[in-house]
Amino acid sequence: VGDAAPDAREPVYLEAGVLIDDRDNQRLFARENVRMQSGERTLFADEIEYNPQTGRVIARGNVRLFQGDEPATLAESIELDSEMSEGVAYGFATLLENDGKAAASVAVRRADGSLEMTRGYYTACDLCEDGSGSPTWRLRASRVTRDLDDQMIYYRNVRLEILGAPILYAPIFAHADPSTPRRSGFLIPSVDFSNRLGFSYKQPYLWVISPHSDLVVAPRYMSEVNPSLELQYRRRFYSGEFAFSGSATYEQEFDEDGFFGAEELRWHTFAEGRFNFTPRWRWGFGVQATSGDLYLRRYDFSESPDIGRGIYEMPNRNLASQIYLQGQGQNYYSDIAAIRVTSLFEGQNDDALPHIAPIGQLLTDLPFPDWAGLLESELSTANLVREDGDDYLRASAGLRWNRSTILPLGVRFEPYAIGRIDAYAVTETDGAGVETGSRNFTRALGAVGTDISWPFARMDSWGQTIIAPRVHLVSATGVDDGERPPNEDSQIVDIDSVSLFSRNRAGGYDLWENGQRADVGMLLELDTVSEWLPDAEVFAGRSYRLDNEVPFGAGTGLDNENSDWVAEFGIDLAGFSIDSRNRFDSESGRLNRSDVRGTFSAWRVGSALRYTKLTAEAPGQNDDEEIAASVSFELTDRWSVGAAARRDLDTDETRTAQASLSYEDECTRLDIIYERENYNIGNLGPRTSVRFQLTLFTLGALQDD
Amino acid sequence: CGFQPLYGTPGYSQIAGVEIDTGSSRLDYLVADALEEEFGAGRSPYRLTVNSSSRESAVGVAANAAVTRYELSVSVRYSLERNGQVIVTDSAREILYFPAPSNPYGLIAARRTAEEQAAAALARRVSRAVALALREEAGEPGS
Amino acid sequence: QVGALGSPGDGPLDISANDLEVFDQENRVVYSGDVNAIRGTARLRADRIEVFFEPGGGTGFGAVQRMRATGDVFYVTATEIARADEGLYEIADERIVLIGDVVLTQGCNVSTGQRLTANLATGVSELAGATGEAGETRVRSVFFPDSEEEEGAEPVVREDCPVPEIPGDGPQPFEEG
Repeated sequence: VGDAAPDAREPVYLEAGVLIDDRDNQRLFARENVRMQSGERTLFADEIEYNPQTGRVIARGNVRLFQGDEPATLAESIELDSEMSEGVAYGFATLLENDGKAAASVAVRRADGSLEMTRGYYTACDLCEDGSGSPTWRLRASRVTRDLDDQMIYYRNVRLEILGAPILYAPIFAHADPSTPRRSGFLIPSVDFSNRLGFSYKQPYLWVISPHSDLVVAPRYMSEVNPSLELQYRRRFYSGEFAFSGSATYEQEFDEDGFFGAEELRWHTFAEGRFNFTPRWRWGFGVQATSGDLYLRRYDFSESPDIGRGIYEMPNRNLASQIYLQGQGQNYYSDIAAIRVTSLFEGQNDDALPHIAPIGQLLTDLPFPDWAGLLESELSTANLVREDGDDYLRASAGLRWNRSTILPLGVRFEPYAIGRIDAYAVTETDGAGVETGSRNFTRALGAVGTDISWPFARMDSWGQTIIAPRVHLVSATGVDDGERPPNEDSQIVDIDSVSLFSRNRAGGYDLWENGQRADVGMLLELDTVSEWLPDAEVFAGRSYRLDNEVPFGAGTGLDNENSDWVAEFGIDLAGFSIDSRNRFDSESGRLNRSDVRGTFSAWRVGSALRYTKLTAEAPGQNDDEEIAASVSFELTDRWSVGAAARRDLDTDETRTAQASLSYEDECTRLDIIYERENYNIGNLGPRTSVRFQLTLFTLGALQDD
Repeated sequence: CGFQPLYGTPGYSQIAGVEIDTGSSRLDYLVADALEEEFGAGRSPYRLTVNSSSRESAVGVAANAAVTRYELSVSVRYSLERNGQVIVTDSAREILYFPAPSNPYGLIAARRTAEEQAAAALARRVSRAVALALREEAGEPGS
Repeated sequence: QVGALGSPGDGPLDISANDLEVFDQENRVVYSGDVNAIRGTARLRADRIEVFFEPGGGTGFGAVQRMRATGDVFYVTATEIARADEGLYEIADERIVLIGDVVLTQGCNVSTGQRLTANLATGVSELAGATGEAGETRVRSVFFPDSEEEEGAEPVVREDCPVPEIPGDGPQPFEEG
């Protein structure tokens, strides 16, 4: 035969319990868990019939075909050509990436790798070993074709079966091959009911424009109001990204009593961009706008959207458009931004809201010899311009020095000093927005202080205990009457274990706590090794004026010489935990403020609680007491129910209530959520809704945004 | 009675000037700055890798759905090592409540102050944990 | 051809060996020393072959009933060479059984096993492994599919593979008398 060219086809290795050669019929049978390997393909079966001449292979009995790193193909029987690449399989099943599984009574595999299955089905759920029972969901079709070129799986006469019962039917259906990254196509629709919009069906279509940009177009039908169209566009650049989401409809306004006003275009747009100059320097912008105050709430859009947040987040029911520059180095941080705020509160006059431009700061660790401690500088500015209202411009420059050391016997001693110069230019206007006066002034402020703590620790086999007494002494310069700006940034003074020892309890720049004071506190921390032993933390503290000056008003806890008592405790024991922060009145001992947060979980129950109580401390203030609780119960390892509510105890109103039924297994997640919202906003009245969120893994999520 | 000064641990005095590795957000900078201040300046063989995250949730909601009170939860995952050998890896969390002024600029300032105060408290919590870890590492018996 | 053993057909049986012992009463003859038995196109080679005959009429032996070969047994036909420790050839049943470290070589295709049973009438042979205390040994084969094969074309067994080496000098021509 001479020097035959090296055989192009791979040799075939066979291993079996028995090899039977039927010479006359030119067939070879290998039996008893046969293993056959040729090149990258390996075939396992109970029996393999092989004709070495023609190369045809017929494998029978729990056949498993592995090709390279492709997932396994399982079948009752498979016929393959010589390269074991093209062939017909009976009782066929294959595993796709991300756990997608396709099975069929007959499957034909083409040389190009595409696969045609008749009477086949697709699911991502686990199949029982013996094929009995039916998976939570599967797509059953008379013909299923997996096309590797356009990376799609096509179905003809397809039925979506839930637990074996046919739910949806469609003549044709297609979805992206789960093993491919992103393909254009219909996303699963979202369905819900609400008393405002009626039955709502949104059908999103994903258009993958390029590997780095895509657009989702989602028309939404609503039984009570005209349909709307939603768009979501994302694009990634080399050094940044841009995202846009918007919606539009042509409809009248409506509320509890029905429709009113003209039928006109109503819309919302949220957009943001973020671009990096260098890994540590970036700029960005955010746009949040809508055609009417109540548009977002009417059409169930979030009133504090994720898109367009930039670096400053607005209080909810306020939108902001902003542009910012942000940068950081090894020892500095800086940002500067301009913000335009619009409010969604119906009564609010947007012109009274400030344009905040610029607002920025530069924090720097200055070079300083180690033995001398740390020196930091801070530059900051804020300029508020109101069309109807006071303007306010502040610029500040400050230095801060501190040097913490550990004295003998473990005393932590940290002297510090602060110096700051504020420059203000403010205008005052009367009610009608007419400017009545303006003031420019600068002031110099300073404070020196020292923070001393002497914590002790005890280590035992069952855990560690820490006792940490702490005292903070400070003396600060005074502020002349002519140097008091309007209070725009220091409106939240309220002492607790964290802010009690803070250098700047006023919170912002406008208010300055002058005079001499001593803040004293004691912390006890118990950290046990076992979950069945309690971990606990207890804190008590108080602030004493040393110069009988009282810079803060009522409601801050600092409104007389000896402050309110701060008392906090937290306990964590087995599945139960509670954390309570309280402030007791300095004279009457009455509870002025309490924030409680608790969780309890045991067996199949999980619950969480939040309670807040603010007592009115000044005329014009009113009590505010609210509670929010949630509980979930696992019926089985797949089904669970949950309920949650938020109730205003002063007005005895339940603001929001929610009940949910959820099912989750390895391939499906279904949430049915009933929600009732009861805010008095405009004349919208309460809103009740039922939402369905169904996620069929690998097929995409069906959810409401 | 078994209590010993926490910062009296010999190893602790070497922590001053610890090198701090952190991310690039404003909160990362605040937490790193507070840790530097907490441990003090100096030359230290230690390295502390920190990444911080914060989560804000509404605690008080008014009749018109405006949020009147926020809960800020700032947590860090930190790991302390000396020439490549990890001494302790753990996480710490600080929770802070603050009322929400209605005007947007007031809330920006309030949130910024809450983050700064939470960072300082977190730095104290981490320094206590580090001191304990160094004491355990030094094998000092709790008498 | 693969796996099955070629049938020697029913021509004359020609045996050559170094030594010969005859046991009349047992209708048995023992050849030993590089024994080669030829019949038609098939050759059986072994260190020792016992031939069992049908009981003959009065004088000599009847037809050959069975042959047992031991020691470096080789069964060679035009298309394959099978090697084993021991072989048993049942003439009447037209069956050959080769036992012990069987190596079957057909052109380049090689199969190994512990027991090869070939039914020369039906052309079906079975190569099996062994399951015993010595553990389970399985049948292993390697096939080199021909590159230019079409359906029904005359199968060509590739020759460019090493051929197993058969000990001894091979069959001696039959010298009359």
